[in-house]
Amino acid sequence: MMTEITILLVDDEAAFRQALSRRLNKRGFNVLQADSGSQCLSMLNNHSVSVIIMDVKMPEMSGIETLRQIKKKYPDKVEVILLTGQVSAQDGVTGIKIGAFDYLTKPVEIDHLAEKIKQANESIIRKEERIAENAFREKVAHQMAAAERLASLGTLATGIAHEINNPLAIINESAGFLSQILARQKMLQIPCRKEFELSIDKIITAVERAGKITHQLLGFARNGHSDYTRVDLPELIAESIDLLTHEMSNRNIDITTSFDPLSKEIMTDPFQLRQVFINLLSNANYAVGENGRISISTANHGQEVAISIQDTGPGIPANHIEKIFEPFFTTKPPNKGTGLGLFVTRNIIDKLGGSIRVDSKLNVGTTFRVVLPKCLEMQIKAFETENSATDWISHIKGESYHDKNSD
Amino acid sequence: MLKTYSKIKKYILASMILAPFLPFIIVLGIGFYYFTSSIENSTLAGLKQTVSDHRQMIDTFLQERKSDLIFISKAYGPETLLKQASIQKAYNDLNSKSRAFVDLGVFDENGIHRSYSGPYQLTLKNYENEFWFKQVMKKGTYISDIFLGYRQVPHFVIAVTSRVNSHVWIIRATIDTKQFSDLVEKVQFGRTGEAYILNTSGIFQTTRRSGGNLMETDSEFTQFPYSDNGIMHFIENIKTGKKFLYTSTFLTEKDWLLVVRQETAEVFRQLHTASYLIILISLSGGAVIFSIAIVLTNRIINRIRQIDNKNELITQQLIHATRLSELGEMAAGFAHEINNPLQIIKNEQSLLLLMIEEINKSSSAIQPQTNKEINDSLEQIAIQISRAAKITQAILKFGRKEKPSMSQIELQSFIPEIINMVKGKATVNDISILKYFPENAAPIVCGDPSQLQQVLLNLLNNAIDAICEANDSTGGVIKIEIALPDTSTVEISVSDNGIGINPDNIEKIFAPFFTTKPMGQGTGLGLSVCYGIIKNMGGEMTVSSNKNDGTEFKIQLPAA
Amino acid sequence: MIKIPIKVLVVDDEKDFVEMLCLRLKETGEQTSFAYDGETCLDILAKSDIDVVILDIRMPGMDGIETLQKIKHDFPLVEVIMLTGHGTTETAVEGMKLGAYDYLLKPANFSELQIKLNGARNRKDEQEERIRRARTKLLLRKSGDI
Repeated sequence: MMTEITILLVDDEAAFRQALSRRLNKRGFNVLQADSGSQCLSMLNNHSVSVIIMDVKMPEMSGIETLRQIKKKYPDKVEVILLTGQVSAQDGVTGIKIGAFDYLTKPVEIDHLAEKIKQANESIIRKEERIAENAFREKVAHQMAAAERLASLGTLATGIAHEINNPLAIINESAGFLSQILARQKMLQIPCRKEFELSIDKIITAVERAGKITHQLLGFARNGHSDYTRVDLPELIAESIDLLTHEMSNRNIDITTSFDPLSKEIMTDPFQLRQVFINLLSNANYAVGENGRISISTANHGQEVAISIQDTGPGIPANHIEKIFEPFFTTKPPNKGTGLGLFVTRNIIDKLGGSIRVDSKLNVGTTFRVVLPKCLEMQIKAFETENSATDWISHIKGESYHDKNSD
Repeated sequence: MLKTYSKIKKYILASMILAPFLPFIIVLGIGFYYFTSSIENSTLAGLKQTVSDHRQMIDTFLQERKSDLIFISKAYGPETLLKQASIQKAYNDLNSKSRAFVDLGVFDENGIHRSYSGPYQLTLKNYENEFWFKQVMKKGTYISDIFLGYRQVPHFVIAVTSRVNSHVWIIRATIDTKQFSDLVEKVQFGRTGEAYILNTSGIFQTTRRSGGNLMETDSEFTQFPYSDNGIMHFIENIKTGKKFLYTSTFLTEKDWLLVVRQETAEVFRQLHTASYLIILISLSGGAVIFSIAIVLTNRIINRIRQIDNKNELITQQLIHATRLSELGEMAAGFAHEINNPLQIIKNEQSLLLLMIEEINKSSSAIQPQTNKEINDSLEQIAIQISRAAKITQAILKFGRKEKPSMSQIELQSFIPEIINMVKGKATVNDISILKYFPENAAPIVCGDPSQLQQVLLNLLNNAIDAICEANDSTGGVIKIEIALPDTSTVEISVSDNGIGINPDNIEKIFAPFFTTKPMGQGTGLGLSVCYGIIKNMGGEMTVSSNKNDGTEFKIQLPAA
Repeated sequence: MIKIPIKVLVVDDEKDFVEMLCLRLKETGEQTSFAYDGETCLDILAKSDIDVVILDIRMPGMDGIETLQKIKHDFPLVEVIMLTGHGTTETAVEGMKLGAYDYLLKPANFSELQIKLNGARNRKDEQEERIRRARTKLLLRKSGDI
């Protein structure tokens, strides 16, 4: 099925414009008109045009100049066909050097023009396809890098957990045993008993903190494996909120949700995505303080779904915005946060093929916006059928199948 | 990747074949053309010569026979010849000149055969309406086509007129067709070359060797191009499928066509031989060009591939190094985070120890049993802190968080010391350690001696383990080699012939906590620490390995 | 009410950890024994009466999961609490599926451990009680038949 091609006709001669427009309309093109270069440029801002037919000779801004500006602003979105007088064919050549698709001399032969318009439109479609392909490749490469990073992080976390948690456990038990000794009847009278208890408490707290760091990293990293299943997004978010309700209700925090019915179900890894929500929600929870408000909403974006988590906290200072996704960066007081939460969050989202963005205004609040593909594998498949399958894509696909099977 | 190689290969191969092949073919073609046309010309010229010589001869024959007859008529006079004795004598005369005459006769102007000498009974027969008679009466002399006549035998005649008083006498002689045919057919060349005579209606006047009797019509005659005079040549396909080269010319004495023909296959045999030679040359030349092109192309492609692989390897190493340094940063941050609580525990532990000591010194000392339990616990805490701290230190080393103390290390004396440390273990396992130093240079590097020692010990121990793990652990060899790739770099390589590293694992080998050893043996930090140390000294560390063949670690350090 | 000691078997390749944990459990009045690997653990279970096994997941030789499977096969009434220092919760959950009573992350909170120990012992008691009742019923029915 051929979609309608939208043409913008730019000429200062109204009569010529009307006549040509009528004739092109008859051939099934959707024709817009502009009487000058500047009007053409302003129309491009709010209309989606694929082909521009423009007279070279125009008062005020010439066709060549307009072309130059169009190509600067929309290098790949629109093709321009120039119309020149018999004597000014040289202008057409100049136009092509700047990036015009072609030029025709007036008077134009309507069949010829229609043919050229179709060619120009095809060229635009090809360019768009190429851009989409490149963007997709970049995205998958990015995603693979994230998965790899997460995997090496997983090895690191597992190693550290094993090597550090065992001594920590022994310290824990030793300190605990000390406090048990201290609790014995005959030890009740010992001098500086308070100091003893304080030291032991400090040791146990320190062990807990170190243990938390290792377990947190472990819980997130999970060695890079993914289980993709159908996930009910509102349900998953509600579940994540439930896990934090206890903490929130104490401080009278108001949570509102609004879900887009069009993006109810997505294909993703529920465990990792829940981790993301818990993480973002506990950050929001920490930020808002008492009587704050947190709102969560989903929005449908074609093949993707956007999830916003907004809080009414103090906001993030501009000099911190850049760093919040780095490992071990935290604004929480020592012993409160590990600084790993957002780092791991971003890595998980990258791996799920999505993206995360943060907008923050001081004293107003912070919004985290997570965009996820509704179905990553389907997207890959759709991409494959549209384009001739490249080795590279099938390689990626093989990998993801491999992951699925090994799980 | 492979696809592009085969594409490049096709392209190069095509141009390498075409570039010499085209001129080769053109030169060969031009040579062939000139060679063949010269052969053709000389062959044709020979044939034409034959025809013209032959015509000369036949013309002479006919002319002589005609003069013979005129001479007889003049010498005897027609009236004398009417007598039987005279004509007999005249015939004998004639016969003595040429054996071609079969008979001789005299006719009066009314066509009555008045006297005859010869084998047939023709006297008094009337020839008034014969074609030859009319012709001779008109022209004075006449040579007839072959006809049957009263004798019903193919023959041709020569007749002349002689005028005595007011009477016209005709003297006629018959030519032996056999003799005439022999004369014409005498020309014989090659296997298929032959000559024959046709009259203007294409009827054979002499027999043709390859078939064609007297009085028959030559079936090919209608296809002959016609020309009044001169020598013609043309090539004609005859019905049997053979191809002949014809050369023809009209005689001057009689409107007869002398035809000399030969099968083209024979005429141009030389030409064919030449063609075969040319084809042979082009085939063998082509084969040579083709094989040279293939060999050269393969060589070029291999070279390209080698260069590509090298670049690929460098890119891979770069990516790998970047990833490791990223991981290093992370690991270091991690270790740092763990170190904080460890520090707290350490402080509190020493505080507790101090307090216990104080209490025991005081009057209210703790029971010895309980005291021991407390001290044991505190000691256990101390042990575990140092155990955990060791791990975090190692991670920090991988993450390059400490400044090394740099000094100059003379490898010439430094490396044997390290080898001595593992010599015992090596000898037990029947492993020899060989060292190769550059001959006229004393390599000195800039680095931290204790750290470099740690790295090399680690590598040597790994090498010993790798050899022990190989099934046939006898004959294990570890090589330590020092090379100076350029003035600012010293390269130390440690290679073994042990089990090698699985290709899947080679990328991860420097990552912290990666280990292939069974659980409980080794933390997987050794190589990552080595990597961190070398990086920290401003050097590079790489690994290459073939499964089951062995492993080589290369360390590049800045020369002092 | 007099506390009935729980007979606990601690299994871990970290000797110091086993030692300290045993000391603490003894201090709270439990009966302890210990093993440093899965094989010894099974030997001890065969020889002596154990209520609850505290089992580390990561051990050289026979690992925790394998040991758990053997325990549940040979001694189905013995309760097991899994202990994981490195592992993700997934391995622990796998352990639960195989019949472990619960799991704890290292370093573990001691009071949590105590609660789980008591819970495990109670479950074991209940099951033993059920079996006893079932046996009695069976016995009664048999005698009734006669």
